[in-house]
Amino acid sequence: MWTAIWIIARKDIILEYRRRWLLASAVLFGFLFVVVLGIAYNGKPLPPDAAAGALWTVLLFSCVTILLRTSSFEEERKAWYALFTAPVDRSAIFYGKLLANTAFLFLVEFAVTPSFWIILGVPAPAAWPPLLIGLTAGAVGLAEVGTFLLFLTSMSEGREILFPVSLIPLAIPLLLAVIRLTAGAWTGADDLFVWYAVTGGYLMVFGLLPWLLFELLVEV
Amino acid sequence: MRGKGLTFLAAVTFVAVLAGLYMTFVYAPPERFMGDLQRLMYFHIASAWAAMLAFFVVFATGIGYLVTRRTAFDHVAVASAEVGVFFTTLVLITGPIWARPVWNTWWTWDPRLTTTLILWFIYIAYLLLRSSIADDARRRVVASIFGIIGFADVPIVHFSVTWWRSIHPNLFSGGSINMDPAMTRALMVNGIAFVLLYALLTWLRARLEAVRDEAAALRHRVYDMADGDRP
Amino acid sequence: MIELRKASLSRNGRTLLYPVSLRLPPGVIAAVTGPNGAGKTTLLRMMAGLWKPTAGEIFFQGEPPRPDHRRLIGLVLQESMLYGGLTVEENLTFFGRLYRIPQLAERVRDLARELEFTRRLGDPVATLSKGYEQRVAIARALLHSPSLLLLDEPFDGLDPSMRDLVREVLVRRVSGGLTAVVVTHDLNYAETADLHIAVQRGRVAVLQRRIEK
Repeated sequence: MWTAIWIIARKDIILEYRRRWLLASAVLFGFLFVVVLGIAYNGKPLPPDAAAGALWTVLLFSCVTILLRTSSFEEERKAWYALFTAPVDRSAIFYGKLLANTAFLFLVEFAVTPSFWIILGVPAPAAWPPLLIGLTAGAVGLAEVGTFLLFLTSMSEGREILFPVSLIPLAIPLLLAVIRLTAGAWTGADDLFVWYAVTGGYLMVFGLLPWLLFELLVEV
Repeated sequence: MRGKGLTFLAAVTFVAVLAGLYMTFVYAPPERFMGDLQRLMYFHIASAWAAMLAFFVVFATGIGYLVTRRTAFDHVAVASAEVGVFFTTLVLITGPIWARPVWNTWWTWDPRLTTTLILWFIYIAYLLLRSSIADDARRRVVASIFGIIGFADVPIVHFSVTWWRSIHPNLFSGGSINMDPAMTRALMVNGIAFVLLYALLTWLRARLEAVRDEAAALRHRVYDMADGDRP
Repeated sequence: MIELRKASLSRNGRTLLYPVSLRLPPGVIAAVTGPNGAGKTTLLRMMAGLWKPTAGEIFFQGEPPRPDHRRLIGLVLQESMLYGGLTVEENLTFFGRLYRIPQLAERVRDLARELEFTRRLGDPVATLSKGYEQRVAIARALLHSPSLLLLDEPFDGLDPSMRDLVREVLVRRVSGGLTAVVVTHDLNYAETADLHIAVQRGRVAVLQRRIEK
């Protein structure tokens, strides 16, 4: 099980690395968004709430494009069928893809986030833990629900739009929590416990549900 | 048998809805501060109850379908989701109409209103997802799973949004409205009427879905036979 | 090896396959022919476990399907099921690891030699021609020495000499006890098979049988 997860994730990382300019474009896209935002704010520094909201809007966009791309690896030549007929636990396929997707989201997050205080004049955060935990949990959570929805929408017409449209409402609690954590990092609020709890609960639910449901999704 | 049950349900629903209208507009007294406007509450809350029930049914029939693979569960699931979205829309329309004069704003990020809005998005996505999959067996499995994770998301949405902000009048623990016993009775009757209405609409819609499936199968049979096929 | 008992499949209210009962013992080649859209690929996918029969049952080695039966099946579909961005060797190594094949590197080299694509081992699959990609797909299906090999149009896109090569590979495996199901348009080939299965409008009939029942 663990080896299968690692083999599948490693394969995605190699494929993504071979076309690393695509990941670089996702980062560039984030920078461009930040620049437009800076222009719109007329050079004034962004208040923490707006900065946190804008940051997560950018990350959400990048997440959608990256996830749609990694599932195209299998769609190109229908490698799904080869994976599904291989003698590995089917949830290993899910967790393998999840691991790789999480890694890509991390990469984009940690490349884009610093531009917020470099370009937008947002001061360095007052407290680092909420920001770092928020970014980490956000990447894992979006990858969890996103990877699962990729499998759900894999036979859908108009998937490019259906995927985000079904992802965002399901991800609202997570987004709400990580946005509060991110904003809290700047305002230095200390009543963030509840947002850690919401994030943790969300990661648990959407980390474990696929394990229960994935087999059903594959076998039709 | 089936037809009789349906007629009975339709008759009961009709009576209950009439009773609900009577309780709302005649029986219940006007509210002290908000006056007649408060009567919207009976529909608002009753719709919210019906919608929650509808989404629970989508969840339960999703599990039912995955376990038994009987298409009847899926017919009820799609019917219930559509009717649920309809009632959610009613909640979202009546909410702001009431909120405008009372809170002096159309939309507020109040926890229950926000939860309802997110639910509305989730189940619209459910219906879109359904219509995007051509293969019926696949569609049923995907819809059942989405119905399950969508409903699992509801408590998390509600919990997180409640922590986020809270200015909704809490009716049952002594909030801003003092519920007269007559008002409670009117609300209960309306609640029953809306749940019956939900059941009736879902039944009809599920039956339509079943007929559609049968019609599709028949159409294929006819084409195959026209093609020179003998069963 | 594989047995279908009144297995049928419907989709969207349409019967794609009417109940079919069929038993394939080890060491036979069964050729499946029929017009486009008759249900050949459907039959193959159902045997592969990608689609569950709507009614009826499938048995592997006399048992109802279990997840570890997936190890018994080798599958070649019309799409190659490979990763375009990985090289031929990386593709085969990736799937070989999923199947936990011992001495994988040697196994890959042997298959490359047998199917004559050794010189393209280091090239990304996206750069291969159809004929090469098809042979790599067949190698992928043979990696774990399956007991049942399911092939959908394996000779498509192969030139005559390669076609003969693939046939030889199949014959060699089948004499070693493999059961092969070959979906093909080539009626001449079907004549030479142990079993000729014809599919028409979802109905399956065995036209010719050279084996004991």
